[in-house]
Parts: sequence; structure tokens; C-alpha cells
Amino acid sequence: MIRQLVWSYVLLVAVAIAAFTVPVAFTLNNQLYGDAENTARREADTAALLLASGDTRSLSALVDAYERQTLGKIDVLGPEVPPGKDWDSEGLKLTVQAARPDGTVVGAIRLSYPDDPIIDRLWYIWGFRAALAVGVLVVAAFLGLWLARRVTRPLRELNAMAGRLRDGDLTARAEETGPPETRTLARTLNTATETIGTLVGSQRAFIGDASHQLRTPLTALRLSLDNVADGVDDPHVREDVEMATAEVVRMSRLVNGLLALARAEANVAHPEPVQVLDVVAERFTAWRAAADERSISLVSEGFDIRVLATPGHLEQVLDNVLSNALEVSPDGGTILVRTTRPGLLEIIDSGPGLPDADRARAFDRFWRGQGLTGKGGSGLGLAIVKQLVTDDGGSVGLAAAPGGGLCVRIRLSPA
Amino acid sequence: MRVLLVEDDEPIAESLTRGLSRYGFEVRWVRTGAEALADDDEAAIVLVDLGLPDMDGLDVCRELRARGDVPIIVISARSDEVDRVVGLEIGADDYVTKPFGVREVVARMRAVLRRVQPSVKEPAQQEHGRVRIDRRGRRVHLDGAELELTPKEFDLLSFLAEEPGAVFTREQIMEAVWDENWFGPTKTLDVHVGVLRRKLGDAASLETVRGVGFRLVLT
Repeated sequence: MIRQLVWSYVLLVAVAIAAFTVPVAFTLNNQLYGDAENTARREADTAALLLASGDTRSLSALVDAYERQTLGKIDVLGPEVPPGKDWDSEGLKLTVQAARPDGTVVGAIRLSYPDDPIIDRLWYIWGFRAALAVGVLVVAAFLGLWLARRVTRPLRELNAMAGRLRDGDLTARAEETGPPETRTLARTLNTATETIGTLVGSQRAFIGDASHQLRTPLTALRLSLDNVADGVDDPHVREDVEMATAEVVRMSRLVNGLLALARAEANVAHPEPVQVLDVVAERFTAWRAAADERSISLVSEGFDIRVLATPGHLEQVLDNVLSNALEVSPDGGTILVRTTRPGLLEIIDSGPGLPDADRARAFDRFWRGQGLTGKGGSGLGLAIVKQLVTDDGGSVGLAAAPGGGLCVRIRLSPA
Repeated sequence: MRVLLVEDDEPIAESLTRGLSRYGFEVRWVRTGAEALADDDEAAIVLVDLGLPDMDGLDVCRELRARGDVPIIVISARSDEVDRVVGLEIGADDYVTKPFGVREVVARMRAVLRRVQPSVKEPAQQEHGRVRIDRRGRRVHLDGAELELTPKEFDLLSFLAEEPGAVFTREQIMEAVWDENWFGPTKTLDVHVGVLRRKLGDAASLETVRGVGFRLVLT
């Protein structure tokens, strides 16, 4: 922006200089040549008068003096030469007839004057002007730079504010100063931030309310069922009550899942650089016991990449994906986590994989696979993964692994 | 034993009162923070809900803690890590998130009471048939021989043994034993349960209650 502004200043000044200079150039050239011609004509006329009066001594003195003092040359010719004026490559050739007062032509004077001095003079003048123009342009560029910085300062401040907003600082406000355009922009931006702040605030409030409102009746229900179960001895009734309790617990899990998802959505991300292999190693430790139980090996390979992720997000993402992977992998299988520069993380299981149609839908909320993970899950695990990864400016996709399993590809911005 | 229950939701308070009475607790129920602070009968333990109509439950905790060292358990629908940390920082002894069952609360209350007043309460050693749990020494004996348990395995067993026969949900066990409350996989739990089952053999069985969680049945 600053560069463009400076260029346009310089261009404008250049156009102005050209507009003022080009017409002057023609006038100046004409004037210089005209002056030279007038001078030459005066000399030639004088010489012609002297020739007509027959004063040869004065004539030769004049010719001598002229040729000594200037670069020109005067020739005395016969009366048959016609008068005329001619600029050629050597310069001016001016022929004047010498006529007596009674009209008889007695001869002619030809004055030759080279145009080198004129051309030199022109070069000098134009060189000076060109240097001046370059100087003016340089000054204009510096002046333009200063002006452009001044003009764009409010924009840079707005940009800084928008940057804070991007980093999740909803209290960021731009100062409403500068020219009217930027002032309006600043005001609009401030209003927009205000609105976003209100929306995020109300979303958070909703999450809090919803969590309270949904959990309270579930608690009451759960407690009542416990009381019922404690009060009866009939094993059939107890079994029924236990089933009812199981449903309450299931519903609680669903509520928790929904709230986790809603919280992830309302959360304004503050991504920070994260050493991926450290997180992978940490989560592997947590899952090692579960994997060992079924002799599944957890393997990580690749570069130790650094990516931008909100603290806790990558952990949750890995937990959800590894949980699925463990669920589908056969006993003795392998789960491979592979990191590739700049920010690719792949989790490959040795399960049966997913058909194309399912792969497309797997990130939908409440989607549950037909196969191994479907029965017990809430259908929210991958939806949460997607939300968290997207929050951190990344993307996630599913692909078929070469060995037949499923490959979860997570791309995050490299730090 | 007297329990002060500070909870504004009537159905919860009623069911909890009834449930706790069955376990021998004498419950005094108040709806507001002001009433809770005005209650001058000596309560052995206080259960405080965070969402009270007149003031924040955390303020009630802080005030109670300033007055004395009565054990406080926060019961809350807010399960955010921040809320838990703040609650525990302010002086609560434990944090139970809704929804919970009666026996879970009882188990947590007993654990807290034992931790807070080790001398007064039940003996630190607990005999369950062939299994003896020594909470102070963090040791478990099976038929007189010591069982090798990892710290988490011990925590899990001793938590389930607070209320033998009671079903605990996975979430509540994770919260109590791992001190984590997160939506997500609880597979670690299955593994530890598996190991415990192997180590305990037929002296006790850790039953899986489908869709809910686990319970310890001692034989």
C-alpha cells in the first residue's frame, strides 16, 4: 500500500513535469534557432549593404571580424545566386542579395553558421532540466513516503487491532482517529467486535445455563432411581431400575458431549506453538496400558514438527482419534502416528477401514459407524475433533490407509 | 452424623436427603447461601451447590472455610476445569459434578471425612472378607498376603471399596481417582479394572454394569 502510494506520487509528479516541459521544449528550440537566424540575417544584411555600396574595405573588415569572432563564415558571391535560407546538417546557410538603391543586384552574401553551438546549448539546457526533474522526483518520493506513512498509520493501527481480535482478544478496540474513511472503518470494526463479543458471551452463558438446566433434572432422576433401587429387594425390579439408570447415565454422557462440542465452538482459540511428538508421546503413555491389554503397539515416526494449536486441543483430538483406532484395531495390531513437515499428522489404524460414503459422513454430529465403534459411542468424537482442529486453523480428513485401515489426516499450521 | 446440604433445587435436595438418610446421615437442607451461613448447628460435613439463588456457592465455601475446618464438598453442574480448581483452591475438600448417584456422594463423603479426621472416623483398615485395605499405609492384603498394586490401582480399589455393591459411573470414577473430568475416552479405567480383576482373583469381583460403570462386589 505504501509502495503503491509512493509510486503514484512519483508518477503524478513525473507527468506534471512532462506536461510543463514538452511544450516549452518546442518554444525553446524555435527561439534558439530563430535567434541564431536573426543574428545571421543582421550580419548578412550589413554585409550586403556594404557590398552594394562598393565599400570593399569595410566589407572585408566586417567579414574578417565576423569570422574571427564567431564560428560563422561569410562568402561574397556573384549576383546570379538567388537569395534563400537553408538549415542543413552543417548549420545555417543564409544567402542575401546585395542591391543598389536603384534595384540592380550587384552580388550576394552567403553567411554560413554552424549549428553545433546551438545543439550544445540545447544539450546543456536539457541536461540541467533532466537533473532537476530527477531531483524533484526523488524529493517527491521521499515526501510521498512520509505522506503515505501518515495516511496509512490509522490502517496499520486497525490492522494491529484486527490481529488482536484474531488472537481472541475481544476487548480489542481501534482508536477512531485519522481521516473520515478510516474513522468510519474503525467505528464499524469496533461495532462488529462489540457484536461478536456479545454473541460469544451469550453463547458462553447459554452453555453454562444449558449445562446447569440439563444436569439438574438428570441428577434428580438419578438420585430418585438410586433411592428406588435401594428400597426394593426384588431382583427384577432392581434390574429394571439399573436399566433406567443406564439410560440416565447415557443421557448425561450425551449432554456432556454436546456441551464439550458447544464449548469448543464458543471457545475463541489462542493457538500456541506445540511440539507434536511431545504431545503424542504423552498421549501414548496414557493409552499404553489400554493398548498393551490387547497387544496393540503404538508407534510414532517422522519429524518432530511444531504446529500452532490451542493448549489441550491436540491432546483431546488425539484422545478421540486413538480411542476409535484402539476400538477398531484387531488384537496384536499396530496404530501408527506419522508426522510429516510442515504440519501433517496422520493416525493410521489396522482396522477394517471405512467405505467412501461413511468417510464423508463420519464428521457429522451423532453419526455412528455400523461397525465396531458404533454401539457404545456418542457419535460426537470426530465432530469434536473437527471442531477443535478447525478452530486452530487446520483441517482434518479421512483416507484409506495402504494396509486397509483408516488414516486420519490432520493438518495444522506449522509454527 | 449431621450433614448440611446447601442446594436450591428441590427435587435434587429431596432425593438426596432421602438417600443420605438411608445411609445414616442426618441431613439439614437449606436453599440459600445466607441460610447456610446462618446455620450455627455444628455440621460434620457440608455439601454446597455452586448455583445458589442469593450468592455464589464459592463465596459460601470461602466463608465457611474462614470460620473453621468443616469438610466441604462442592456439588455442581459446572464441570469446567477452572471451576474445579477454583473450588478446591478456595477450600473445598472435594468436587462432585452433577449428575451423581446417592452412593457416589456417600463414597466421596466418607473419603473426605476419613482424610480430614483420620483419628475420629472408621479405622483406616477396612476388612472386606478376604481383602484388607490399609488406607493409611496404602496397602492391600489378600488372604494375609500383600498385593502389589500401582498407586492408581490402589486408588481405584479403595474408591470402589468405599461403597461395596454401589455402581459408580465411569465419569465419577475418573473424577475421583484420576482427578480429571473430561468428555472423552475412559479406556484407561477399563485397563486398570482388568488388572485389578486379575490381581484380586475370586476374592472380589469388579462387575461391569453395562452402560453405567463398575461396582465392587466382595465375596
